[in-house]
Amino acid sequence: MTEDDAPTVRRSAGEFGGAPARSSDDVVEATSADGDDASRDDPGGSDSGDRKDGSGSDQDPADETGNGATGDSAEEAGDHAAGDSAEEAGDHATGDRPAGATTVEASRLSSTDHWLGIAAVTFLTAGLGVLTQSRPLFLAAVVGVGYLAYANATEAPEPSLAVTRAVTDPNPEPGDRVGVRVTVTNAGDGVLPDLRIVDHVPDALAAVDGPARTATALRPGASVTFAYTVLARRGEFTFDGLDVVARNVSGSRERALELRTEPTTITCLPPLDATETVPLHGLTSPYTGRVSTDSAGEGVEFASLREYQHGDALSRIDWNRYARDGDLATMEFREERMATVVVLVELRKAAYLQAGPDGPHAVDRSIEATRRLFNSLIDTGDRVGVATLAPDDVWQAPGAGPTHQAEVRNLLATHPTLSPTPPSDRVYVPGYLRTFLHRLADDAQVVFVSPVPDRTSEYVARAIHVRDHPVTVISPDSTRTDTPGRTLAAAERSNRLASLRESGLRVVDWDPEESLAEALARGRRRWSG
Amino acid sequence: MTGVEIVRRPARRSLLVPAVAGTAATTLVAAGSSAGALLCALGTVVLLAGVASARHGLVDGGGLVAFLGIVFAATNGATAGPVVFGTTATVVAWDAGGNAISIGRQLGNRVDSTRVEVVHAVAGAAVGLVTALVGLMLFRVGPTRQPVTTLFVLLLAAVLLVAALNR
Amino acid sequence: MTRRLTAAAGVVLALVGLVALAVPSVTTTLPTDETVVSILGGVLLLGAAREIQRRRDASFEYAETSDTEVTVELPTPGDDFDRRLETITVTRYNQLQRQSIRDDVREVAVATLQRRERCTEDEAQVMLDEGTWTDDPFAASFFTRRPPKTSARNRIRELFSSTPPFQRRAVSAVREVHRLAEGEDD
Repeated sequence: MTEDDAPTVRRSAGEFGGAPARSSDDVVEATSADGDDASRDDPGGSDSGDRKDGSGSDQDPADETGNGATGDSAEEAGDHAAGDSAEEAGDHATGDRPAGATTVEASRLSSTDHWLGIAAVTFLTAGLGVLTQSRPLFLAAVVGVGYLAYANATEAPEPSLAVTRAVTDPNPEPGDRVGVRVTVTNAGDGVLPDLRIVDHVPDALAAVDGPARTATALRPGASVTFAYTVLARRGEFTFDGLDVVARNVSGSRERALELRTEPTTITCLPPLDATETVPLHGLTSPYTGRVSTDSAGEGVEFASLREYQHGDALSRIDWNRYARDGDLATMEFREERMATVVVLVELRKAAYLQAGPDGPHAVDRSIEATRRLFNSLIDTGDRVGVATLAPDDVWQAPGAGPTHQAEVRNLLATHPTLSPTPPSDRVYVPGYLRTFLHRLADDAQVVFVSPVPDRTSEYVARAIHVRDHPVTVISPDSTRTDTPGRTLAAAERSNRLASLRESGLRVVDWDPEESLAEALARGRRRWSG
Repeated sequence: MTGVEIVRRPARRSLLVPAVAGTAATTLVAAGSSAGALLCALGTVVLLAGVASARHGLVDGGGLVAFLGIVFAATNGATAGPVVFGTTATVVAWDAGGNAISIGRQLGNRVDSTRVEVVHAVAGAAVGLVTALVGLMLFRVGPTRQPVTTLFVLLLAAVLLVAALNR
Repeated sequence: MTRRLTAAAGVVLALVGLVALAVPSVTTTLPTDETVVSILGGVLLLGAAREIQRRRDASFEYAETSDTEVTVELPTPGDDFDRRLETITVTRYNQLQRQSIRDDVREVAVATLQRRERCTEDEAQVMLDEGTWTDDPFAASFFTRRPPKTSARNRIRELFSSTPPFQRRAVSAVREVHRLAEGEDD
């Protein structure tokens, strides 16, 4: 048994910085002596106990860190919480990871008032029993007491659940019906007498068959399965949440939980759209000829020489050349050749459109485009920022470093403004523009991502362009031509885009059937051709 | 809006347990007092209407009226057995009805909640039956020798203790 | 505080009662005359009333669940116009609404003509009024307000078709405007 233990133990000793060549007994002493390390590894002391006994538990020390897992005692069987394994990724010999680990996002315990007032049975019968000296009534009062005790006897259980989800087609066509099957297992060792489960269907998807809910009572180890159908639409949707209400058997107390489960994704996108970046080919025009008068700092590399123009800073003149040839030439540095770009996403209520009932949401496409444009522009060395035209405006100033990139990616993934549901407030556009233009650096360009649903978008794009910030418009097309109204709207939008082109803006009309890369390529042909 | 919008009311099936319990209570006291049985039946009907329309107020009111029917029968000379089991039955109907409404509100009427409702109802019924039987046994076996006052004192003690624990 | 008192009283009474089971004489000393009994009964009935009131006052706030199966349909541009067009054809005699629809289409038509034909706004208006902007007679008649310049047979067919003339002409006009707008990319 010691043989089996030794590798396990040695690994943990390594963690604590102990020499691996010690005998296993010594190491065991060390691990139990190491106050907080042992407790981090081992909530109940059971693990070091195992090692001492040589009972050969095949649990890695990594198992015991129950980060965010529900009902830890249940997890001893070798379950890991999702957060866990990422940390200990290298350590596992046997990845004994069951499907369906869940973490608890939110939990609320409360009284249901279900049995409130049951004491009235007792009081009423006892009172009348006294007044009428009736034994049957006294006995009825006993029943009341029994129920009163029953109502107050138990607490709502804390469920420990494993949830797995299966989807009939993870890559459907728009308009397909996709079946979702959810299995919930009681992974704890207590009975769950009253479990009410509601699956989180992604906001943009509709369930067209069967409620995404079920109710059951589960013994430890038992599971329940329920299934429903969703209508697929363009985009990428992740199923990763579950709402659970667990009550005690009398129904007097309940615990409402929001669980996060392992994600299952349905992707309904053209294959080329799966990339993270898009080829840009001159989407932005790097400013040439604009020399900043600030002195260049460190990390700015020499890029090229050009002819001296009146007004260039003296510090930028290549004096060596002048000394040699008598020519005045100005040095240009790489930083100045980098473009400063702000990607402005339109998130006004009017922009929340979809191209027909199974078409993609314009906002989904806009945010997707923003993300990929950001990635691509950063890759080409530009300084990129992100802003939103929304009631709750967001401004992330242009930058280039890894921190900045991480911040923006996080913003695009989680900020509440970038949500699939439309805002209820309106944007006061003139005020917004003032602030926006004020924040915008002099040489910044703007990429405006918007379906251009009305005159306001046109106005915004033009207003920015006119103030010497070249604007490129990327417009996801949310129009259809299957009804007269929609056809008219399509024509109207076409006119708007044409009008913007006339004013000198570059416009990319992004058709729902093509990938962003194709749309950009098409646009580029127009600009250079 | 697309997608199935759930109807937040109990399923038809959920009417079964309260109906059976209410009918049982009515029949139990019918022998002793027809007025009491009538009250009980009325209360049951109101209770069932409350379940069908997902209104707690009706269920509570109906349950109370049904229970008053039992009490009325008791004061008019019904024997211990029917009174005690009638009380249990009324409470079971009320309990199952309220539970059905909560399931309806949270899950809608298309979820098969049979298992959960049965577990809940059976547990409630068991509690009631056990206490009823215990009570009856004490009544028959022990305290015919005991004066009513002793019983009453004990009962009061139990009430006070449980009331102290009451959430 | 009351909880403790109640619990204490309960314990005391329980002891008394248990003692009384063994020694019946204990309870005979307790007052059992009418008034005490009535008061006790009354207090208990009040207790019952209080319990009932507590339940009536309770707002049943157990956990709520979201409408997860449902999703809000976002509009597609032009849905509003379709709705208005729909109601027009039902009522048939609503001059103001018709004019509003006609104005909306006219606005887009003018912008389209200006863009494609490179003319001024006034010139575009004239083209619409005279019906020279399109070959489709029904589309043209939508703006000229005169009967469509087509064969008598077609005009009679239009009158007897299931779609009212206004709607047919509006649809034709919109289609023609769209065709013009989506022409060769400039």
